[in-house]
Amino acid sequence: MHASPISWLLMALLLAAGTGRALAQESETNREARELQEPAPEAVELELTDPRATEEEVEGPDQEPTEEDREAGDDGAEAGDRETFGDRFRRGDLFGVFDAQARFFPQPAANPVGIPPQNNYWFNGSLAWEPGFFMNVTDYMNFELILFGRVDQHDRNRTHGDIREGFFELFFDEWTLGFGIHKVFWGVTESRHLVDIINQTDLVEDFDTDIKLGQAMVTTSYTNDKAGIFSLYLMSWARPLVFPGPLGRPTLPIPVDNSLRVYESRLREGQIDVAFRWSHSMAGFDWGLSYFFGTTREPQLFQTTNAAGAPVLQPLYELIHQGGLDLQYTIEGWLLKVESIVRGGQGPTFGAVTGGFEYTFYQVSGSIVDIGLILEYNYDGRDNNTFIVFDNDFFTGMRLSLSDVGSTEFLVGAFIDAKDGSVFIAAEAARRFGQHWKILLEGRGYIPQQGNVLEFFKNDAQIQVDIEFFY
Amino acid sequence: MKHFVAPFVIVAMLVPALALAGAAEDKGLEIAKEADRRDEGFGDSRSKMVMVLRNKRGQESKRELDIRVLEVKDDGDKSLTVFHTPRDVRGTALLTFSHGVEPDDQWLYLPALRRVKRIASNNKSGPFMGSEFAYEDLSSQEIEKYTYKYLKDDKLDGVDCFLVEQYPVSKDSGYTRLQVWLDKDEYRVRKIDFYDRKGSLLKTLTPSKYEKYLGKHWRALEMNMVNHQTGKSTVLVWSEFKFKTGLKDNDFTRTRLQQVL
Repeated sequence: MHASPISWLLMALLLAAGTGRALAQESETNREARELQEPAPEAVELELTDPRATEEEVEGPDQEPTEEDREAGDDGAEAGDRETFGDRFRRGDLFGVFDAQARFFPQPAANPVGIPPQNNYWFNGSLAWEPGFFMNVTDYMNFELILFGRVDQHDRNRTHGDIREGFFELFFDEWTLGFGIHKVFWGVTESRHLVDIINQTDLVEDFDTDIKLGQAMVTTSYTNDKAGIFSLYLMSWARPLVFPGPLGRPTLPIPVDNSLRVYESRLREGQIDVAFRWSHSMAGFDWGLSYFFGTTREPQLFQTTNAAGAPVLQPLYELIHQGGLDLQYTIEGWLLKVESIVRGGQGPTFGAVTGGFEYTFYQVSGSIVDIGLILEYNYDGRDNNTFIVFDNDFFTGMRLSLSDVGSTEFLVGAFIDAKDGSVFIAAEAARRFGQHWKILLEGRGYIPQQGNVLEFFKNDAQIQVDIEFFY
Repeated sequence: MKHFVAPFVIVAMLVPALALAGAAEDKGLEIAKEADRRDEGFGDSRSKMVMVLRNKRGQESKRELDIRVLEVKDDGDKSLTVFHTPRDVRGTALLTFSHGVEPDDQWLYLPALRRVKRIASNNKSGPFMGSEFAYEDLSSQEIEKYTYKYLKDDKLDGVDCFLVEQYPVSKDSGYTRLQVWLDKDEYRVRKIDFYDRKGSLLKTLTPSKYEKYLGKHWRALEMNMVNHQTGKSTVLVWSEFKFKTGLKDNDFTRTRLQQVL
């Protein structure tokens, strides 16, 4: 199994090449890749029937390593190879989640621009599956694959698939090297993730921007107790932001036509994005400083007409520089947080800040209930902020967690526009049932003032139920 | 779990202060230090743990975890805990740098968001994952987290024990005192009674199935915690204990937190 890293590299390249393809095609690619990397499928089959015998065959000179030997080895570099790839593959973890989702819309759809709305329905059902596989390829290499697919009743854009992860990671002492499709999160605040820029948002999944699409990358990091973590990312095939279609709900009054999208980079999607981050933790402080150069994940939208003469929004993907800072101070039950960015390349250079606190009361009056209070302020200085809801807003939220068997949790949060008092409010409840099931309930509502961007969605209040099965 | 691995320096600093205290306090501390000394030098350990939660009606719920611990010479231990079940929290991992009396540093990794979150560590008395074990019961047991008082010699199930009372130093603790039975032979914890903030008996911990590793490190492979006030109980079943596996500081970082499955 010493040759395996090279074959795995091949597989990674194949995976990377499959980024934009449909899920079905992807799983095929994956299978091909696996065949590539295992030139002797007979051996694998043998292992399935008699793992002990095969282990000896494949390993040759190594004599019957015991679990103890392997675990007790001071230098695992040699010890790790004693376990065959087949052993490790079978020890790998198959996991995932099925989601059955229902959305209810009590009010009839409205379109403020005057075009008759196509999304005038009160119920939307959809099904999703996110299968995953994880294995330790060697003691110093992990592989993770997570696919995702959703079928939506109405919105064709929301019927979508993605490779969330297809990532190899090698780690040795202070260094890690990773390649493939991966997700990276930066930041500390709750109401908005300003600094987080590596991955494109999966906006059709949910417009709360928490869910991300996989990003093809090569990355390396150096971690040191005293100096912190230094990470470097080289990325390509950045994904366009997919908006809900005309039948989605909520959706934009004028549809976004991604086939008309324009890139500033001559390489278009092939542009190589670069990012660097230094993060560290000392006493109660955790901070990160980051820099990104490449194609923006947040396009500007311009109104135009498509070939058929209908009004559409055309996305413009410019090259941007972005510097970011995130900082948290943790003391007792207090979390004090701030995130800030400066971005150049999309019109005049602008800055944006999100900052605030979270305070948690544990075991309120002797019960098992923890109550967390969150207050954050959002400022965004960009000129073309038609679609930026967070230009000058407060977010206030409350998190209620029961430390019970089902990890029951309630969340209520509201964005309040500091200028005109428009409100977006959301409430959420989640609980696990048994070992595998989870039920989520969510309600959202909009109380816009005249002229606020939220007016587009004023009739789109919704109740959402998710029944999830984890395995 | 009851591996007292306090830094000797801090203990030494405590000794003069305690010299003024009474003989029972001295003896209590001496017993705690002896128990600690006997478990020194384990280096690092890896193990698997299953938590079985039982409610009053006997319904069970399970959590499976992997636990890695690194003994740190002049500070509290470092630990990394990863969940395998329930499956909705699969991959969730907790990194803890414990610091004796000072609050611990804790980071939580949420795999769905790929987010590492620094969390407040003053939630000592909260239940861990809905179990009868509080965070403070599962955290690294450093000598300076308590003051001590030797009560008497006692026989527990025919075994000669010291009965020592421990008083948590932290104001965030959910307990006013712990009564700890340690056997005289090996200084292993045989039983702990936990008294809540009102002073009434809250829980009883009974470790059992002790096994010796590397010739000196005793570990209980089962720990039964019964809550007398709710009738609920939690059993921790440990397996695959391995010591001196070669874990280093590099294996207890925010980077590694995301790679430990």
